[in-house]
Amino acid sequence: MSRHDEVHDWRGEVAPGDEDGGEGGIGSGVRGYLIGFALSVLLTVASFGIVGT
Amino acid sequence: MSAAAPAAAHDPHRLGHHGAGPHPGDHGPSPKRIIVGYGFWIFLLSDFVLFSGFFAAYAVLAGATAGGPSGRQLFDLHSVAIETACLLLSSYTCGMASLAVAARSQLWTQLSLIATGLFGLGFLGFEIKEFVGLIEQGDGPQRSAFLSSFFTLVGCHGLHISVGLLWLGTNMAQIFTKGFTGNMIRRFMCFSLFWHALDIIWIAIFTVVYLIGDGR
Repeated sequence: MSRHDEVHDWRGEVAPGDEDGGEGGIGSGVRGYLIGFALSVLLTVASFGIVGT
Repeated sequence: MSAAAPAAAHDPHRLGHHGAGPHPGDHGPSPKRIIVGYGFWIFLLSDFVLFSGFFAAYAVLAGATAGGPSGRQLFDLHSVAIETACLLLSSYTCGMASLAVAARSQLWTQLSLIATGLFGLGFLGFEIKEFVGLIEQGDGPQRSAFLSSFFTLVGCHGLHISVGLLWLGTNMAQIFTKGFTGNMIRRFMCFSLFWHALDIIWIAIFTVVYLIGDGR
């Protein structure tokens, strides 16, 4: 870790795609991923369904 | 009312450098985590450009079957559905690994990454089976321009998955032996971005190549 990291307060700055910026803990993270997974399954099944009809 | 109030109204995010108090950019370079993440996104975007070229080639050559079979005759959508399920599940378990890393849980990190790797291997197995089947029946990349572009595009994605699996194994071993050091966490963040990006590319492949190809 650089000297800058130790001296300054970096809270509120997150990297692109960073997970640590979210607030609410693990429960909220798991819920977010579950919702994303369910939506992706729904959209994928719908895509295959449209081709099948 | 202070003199800073009118300035804040004109420049609420203090983007100008005339106001009082700290603002972004004042405290030197950002932490390594942000710089590494930003740099890796630039790599991912360059990878997307590479795939864009292959997608464009496929779109142009999809009809150039040279009297050979088209996608409709070759593709097995059941196998593609299983491959898609494997990748979606592996992306989900990779997300769980991100949460486990954030919680600094060695056990859950390793378990989530093992699941990610197994789903990735499952995907790769089905893809190799499809490629071997096509080549055995004489529909290899040399058969037509359509099949050349198909093998290039889908094979390039499969190659990325193979490299990703090697990276995953290395990452697991390093996290296991060295623990959650700053370096390891940044490397895992890059792997996680890479793996999710491959999932996004697969969504485009199964839509453009398999679903649209099956309807041709």
